[in-house]
Order: sequence, then structure tokens, then C-alpha cells
Amino acid sequence: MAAALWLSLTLTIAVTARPALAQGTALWLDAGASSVRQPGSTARPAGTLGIGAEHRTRRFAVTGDGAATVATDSIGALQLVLRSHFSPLSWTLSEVEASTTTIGITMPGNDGNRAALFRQYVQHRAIRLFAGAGVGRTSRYGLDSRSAAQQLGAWSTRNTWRGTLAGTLTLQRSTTNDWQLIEAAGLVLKAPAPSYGLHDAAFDIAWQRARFAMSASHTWRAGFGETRGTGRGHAYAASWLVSGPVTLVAQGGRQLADPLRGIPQASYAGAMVRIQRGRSALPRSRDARSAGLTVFDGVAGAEYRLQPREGGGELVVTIQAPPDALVEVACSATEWAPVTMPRVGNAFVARLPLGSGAHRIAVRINGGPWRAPHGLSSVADDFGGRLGIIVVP
Amino acid sequence: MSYAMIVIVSARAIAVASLFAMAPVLVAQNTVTSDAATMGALDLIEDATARSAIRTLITDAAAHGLPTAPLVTKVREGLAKRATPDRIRSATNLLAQRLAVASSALAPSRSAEELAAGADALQVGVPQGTLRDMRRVWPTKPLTVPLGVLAEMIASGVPHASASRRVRDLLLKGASTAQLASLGANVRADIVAGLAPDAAMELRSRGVLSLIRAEASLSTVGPASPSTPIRPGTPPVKR
Repeated sequence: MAAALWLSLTLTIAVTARPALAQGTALWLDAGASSVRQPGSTARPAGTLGIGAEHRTRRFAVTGDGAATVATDSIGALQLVLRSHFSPLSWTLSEVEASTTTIGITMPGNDGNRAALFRQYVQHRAIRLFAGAGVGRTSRYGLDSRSAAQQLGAWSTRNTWRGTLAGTLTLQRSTTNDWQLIEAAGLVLKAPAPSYGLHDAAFDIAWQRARFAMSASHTWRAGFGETRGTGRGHAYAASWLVSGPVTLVAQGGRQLADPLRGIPQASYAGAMVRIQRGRSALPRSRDARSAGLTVFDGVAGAEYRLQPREGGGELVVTIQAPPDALVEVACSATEWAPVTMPRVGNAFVARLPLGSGAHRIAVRINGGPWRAPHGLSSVADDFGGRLGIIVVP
Repeated sequence: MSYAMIVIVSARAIAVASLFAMAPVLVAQNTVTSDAATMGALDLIEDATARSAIRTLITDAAAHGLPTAPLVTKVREGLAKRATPDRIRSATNLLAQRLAVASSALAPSRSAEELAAGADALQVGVPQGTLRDMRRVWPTKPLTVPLGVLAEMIASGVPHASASRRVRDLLLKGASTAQLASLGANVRADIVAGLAPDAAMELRSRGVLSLIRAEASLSTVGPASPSTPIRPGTPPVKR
């Protein structure tokens, strides 16, 4: 597929080395800017504002992280991630993560993603092995798609006088029926199959010393079963604890489509500042935030409503005006014969049956200038005024 | 092509053989329209010179095979808006020119609704070439709704090129008029909600495209054609 099927914005914030977290509570505020480009689309600048909190004891930790992302074209997203760790014994740790994302914060809707992931870690000396599984559900353009993933991996860390070095190897197998996401990433089915199948291998390396941290990762992807196609992703990040609570982060790379969280493939570059209160810690990894758009019917504050009917529709025009006002409506379908609108309740209401096609309409109050009803696209009327356009299917 | 250029071209286009070729067929039916419906409207114009000029305009339009109903409606609109006779004449003349260009671009269509929609699209700046292209894409189906949506989108601030390209894509993919009209309403709502017009158009048109593909996927039986991507056997569920 030549272009991405749906537009979204993603920001991957601060994939840095995991610091050794002390016990206690921390609060942080993130603000950043980024440029994101999906396959087949132009780069879109975006800003993000995030807030988070974490409480950690010796055996238990819970983290809540919320972020709002808005692009210059006013597309936005809200994401909330809740993550908890439980470590009853020194050699084992359980992690549960749940995230929910609403894609399109400028308007309410049902589009978004819900995902949950469970990981179990077993530690032996400096090596930590883990296995995990997750499920995700993405709603986009009226379609609900489902994904599942299983992970195996190993994590190890080493302290030297040059700093702390950590490496992670993750193998993931995922399946999804989200064809909008997968086709946009360039993968296809070669024969009918229940779902797409993806194998990923990812290697992360991170280094931290004093106030500095850097990380790099590379991901290889290949389709399995009837899924054909490959992909490569990479990410780089650097952070600097400037002073006190302020940390600066720079990042860039190319992320592969994430079927679990419904995040599309994209290249990105950006910078972020974090202000943290509580125990000191560098920013930790955060999942990408996605944005898109949702179904929205009707215009807030509109003075019209179109109700479908056989062979056309009924346009209901509602004008707020003083009770003693004279409110008139005229349209091309009635040969521009002005019709006085009766008062119904607290407003003046007209019901105009319209056939299929494009119609022009205008209203006026007390003999004043004709104007387009609010909410309709308006054009010049060749007489020095404006009128509204309505298209009836 | 700028609007000024469209007007110049349209004046020349009236004289070209393609318009005259279809004129004899339509003269009769349009004369009926002009005779019966025009008189009432024209009689309300007080200025005799303007009234005569408008009558000539309408008669000429009918002679060239153009629908006269939109012109009469324009006269009525001017009267309803208490425009001066000269302004009504000017507006009617402009519309006649747009109808002529639309008629040439949308040939062989002679539907008054379709040509009026084409004229509306030209008024908001859609190039004549775009109308021709849409006719090529949809040679037999009425373009009234697609042209209306195109005009609506441009009036809402969507750039001409972007709006034209996306509407064309939807026509090629087989979008229904209901889907197109719904697209227009949703884009308008998005813009009012604060979304940039171009982004709203891009997103909503992709939404319609994905629905078309989903419908095609759900209704496909047997192996897909080489140009149709194979989709998972358990497709996403429609909400």
C-alpha cells in the first residue's frame, strides 16, 4: 500500500537507561516537541504534555502516566498508562501494564486502543529472563480489530567505573487482524489467513553514568505464516539531568507498527524536558502515544440538522432569536421564496424537505442581511452576501 | 486555473462547436422552462433594461442547451435579497458563464442539477479540468453530490488540490453518494471542532476508504484479484 491508511501521531518519549529507583513517591511533568512522519505522509510537528506519578516500596511499585499530544494540525491524543510491579521474592518480579488511548482529543468518540500486558521476570545473578503475553483492541474508523502478542527475553546489567551498562533481547510473536495498520507498514497476506503473523527480534542497549544516559535499539521484523514482508526499526535517545529536577531528553528513530497498542509505523525526532519532584530519577521508558481521528456526527453550536429521508433528507434549521423577532429562511430548493420560521419552544424552527443534491440556504433576522446558518460551509452569493451549502445524499 | 481565466475560457467555450452541437436537442425543453417560469420572476424586476438583458441571457442559455432553471433561481434569489437589477443581471450572467463551462466539462450530461453543482464548484475555484476528470472517472453516474461535496469542502477551507484529489480517489474506489455526503458533514464538523481543514479532509476520506475496503473484504468470496489485498479471514468487526 502506497500510503498509510490512517493518520496518527506518535511520540516515543525518553527510552533511556532504567535507573536504580529508590523507594518513595515521585511526580513528574513532561513537555516536549516532536516531528513525526508516517509512510506516505508528510512530517507533522507535534507538542506533548505529560504528567506522571510513581510510588515504590521494597516489593511493590505502581506508576500512572498520562499524556496529551497535539499536532500543529490540531490532531490530538490522550494516553493513560498504568503499570505495576510486584516482587515478593528477590529473584522474581511480576509486571502488569494496562494502557488506554483516545485518538482524537479535539472531539469525543470511540476511536482508540486498549491494551494489557503481563510479564514475569526471573532473575539469576546479573541476568533476568522474562516471558510475557498481551492483548490489544483498536477501534478505528468504525472497525474494531484485535491483537495478541507473546514475548520471551533476557535482560542483563553490568556496573563498571565507566557507568552502568544494560542490554535487553526481546523475541516477540504477534498476531492481528488490523489490516489498516499492517498494510500501511508494507506487510501483506499472500494467501487467505485468519490474521497477520509477525515475528520481532529487538535488541536494546543502554548506558548511564552520573547525569547522562543514552540508549539505542534495533528491531528486526518478519512476517510468518501467510504474512509476507519485513521491517527494521531503530531508536536512539539521550538524556541529561541538567540540575535539580530538570532533565532534557533528545530522541529519534523509526518505530515499527505496534499491533498491540495500535501504533502505526513512523519516523520521528524530538526533544523533551522533564521536571520531577520527589526522589531523583531519569525519565524511564514510555510507550508511544498515538493519535488519530474519530467519528463525530454533528457540529457543536450548529443551527441546522439534516435528517435522512427516502430520496433525500429533511433539513431542520433552528435559530435562536428574541421571541418577537421575525426570522426567515430561504433556499434554492424553494426558489428562494422567504419562509417565516415559526417559534417552537425557545427557538425559531423550520423543516425543509430537500431532494438529493447540493442546496444553498440562508437565514435572516428582522429583515437584516441574509447569512449562512452556523455550522454550514458558506460561499459568496453573487449579491455581496453569504449563503450556506448543504449536500444531501 | 484562476477564476478570471475560467470566465475568459467560458466566454470562448460558449462559441465552440461542442456546445452548439447539443443545443438543438435542448432548445425546446428549456424554452418551455424559460417561458413559463421566467416570466413571473422577471416581471418583478422594475428596471426594463436589466429585465430585457436578463431575458436575453436566459434565452441565449437555452439556445446553447444550458438549463435555465438555475438562472431563474438566481434571479429569484436576487429578488429575495433585494439586490439591484444590475446586480441581478450581473449575477445571472456569471452563473450562465459557469453553467457553460460546466456543461462543456461534464458533457454529455444535461442534467440541470448536475450542471448547477458543476457551476457551484467552479464558483469556489475548482478548475474546469477537475470537472472533466471527475466525468471521466464517473462517466455514467450523476456527479451532483460529489461536486457538491467538493464545493463544500473548498468553501470550508480545504485546499483545492487536496479536496479534488481525495474526492477523485473516493470516486475511483466506488464510494456511494451517502458516504460522500457523510464525508462532507464530518469534515465540516471536524473543522468546527478545531481540526485543520486539510487534515480533516485527509483523515475523513481515509476513513471512508477504509470502510469501502472493509465492505469489499467482507463481501468478497473466493480468491482476491491481484489488485485487491488479501485481508485476514477474521476481519475487524464493524461497530
